[in-house]
Amino acid sequence: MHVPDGFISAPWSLATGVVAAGAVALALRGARRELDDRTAPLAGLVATFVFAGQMVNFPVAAGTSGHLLGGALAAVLVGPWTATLCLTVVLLVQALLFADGGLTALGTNVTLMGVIGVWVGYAVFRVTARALTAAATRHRRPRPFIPVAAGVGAFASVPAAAAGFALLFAVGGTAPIALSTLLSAMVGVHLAIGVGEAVITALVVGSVLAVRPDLVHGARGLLPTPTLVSHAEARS
Amino acid sequence: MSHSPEVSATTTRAARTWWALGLGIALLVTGVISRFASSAPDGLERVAEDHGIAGQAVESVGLLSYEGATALLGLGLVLVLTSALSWTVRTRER
Repeated sequence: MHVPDGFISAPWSLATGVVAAGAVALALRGARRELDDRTAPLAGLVATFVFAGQMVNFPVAAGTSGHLLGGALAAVLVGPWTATLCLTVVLLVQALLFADGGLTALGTNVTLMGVIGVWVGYAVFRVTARALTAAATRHRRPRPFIPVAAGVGAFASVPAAAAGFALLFAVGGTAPIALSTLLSAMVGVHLAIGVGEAVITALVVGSVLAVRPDLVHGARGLLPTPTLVSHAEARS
Repeated sequence: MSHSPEVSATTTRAARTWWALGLGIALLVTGVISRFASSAPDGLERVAEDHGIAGQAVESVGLLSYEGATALLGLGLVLVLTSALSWTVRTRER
């Protein structure tokens, strides 16, 4: 999904650069509320895992592969503001050291994966998690289904970022192509990649939740909180 | 929030173990699982090739490629940068 140099015109690359810089500035403020002494170490780990995951391409069709974007995964684990920062660091290192994604396309890539991918993924995760929790509570089996909801958010985040690219290319692309053609091609292939994204995200969120449910940002307010009951209260 | 010293010592140790385990998994993905990665073009590259966009790409020369030690260098850099950033912006206790 990394956009190379030359795909997007200079003015639009500048525009996405401004969007990305604004998003990072907001994220630096927003992340303050998400990170404390306990959760801050997790952010480094999450970014590292996303960087590692993005190196592993899985096949989706003959001659086509996809890889984890990690925006939804990071948002569920450490919160969406911190996730935008994590993805930005990953994309920065990739562009600077590995020429994976162009330097002039850094703003574009941060906008697509670090903003659209993160926030669409997180929004769909929240809506799904609330709906599933409410449904389960109605059936008197309160369970938050957080890994499932994380998978649904992750699935949505990939075609959303792909659609973002198609829309951007329609206004600032350097080759003539009809929006409808590019949009359907991009969304089509990225729906398949989204399935892989969903599986990886659900598995990782499920694993972290099993070991350290207290650290999962997306689980806050959804997991039943253990209440302390004194002996006297318990007996009465 | 106040913890007794023994409790917070235990939680710190558990947190370190857990954190090291997470890092180990990231290293495993980089060092071992990435060997089995598909080398086929990814979704964007495929679409760009199919629709005559690929030729617009200006190939920039990367300093490094994702192989062995260099991949680990990238991994370490991401870890250090993000950790420093998140540790700086975090809400401090007390």
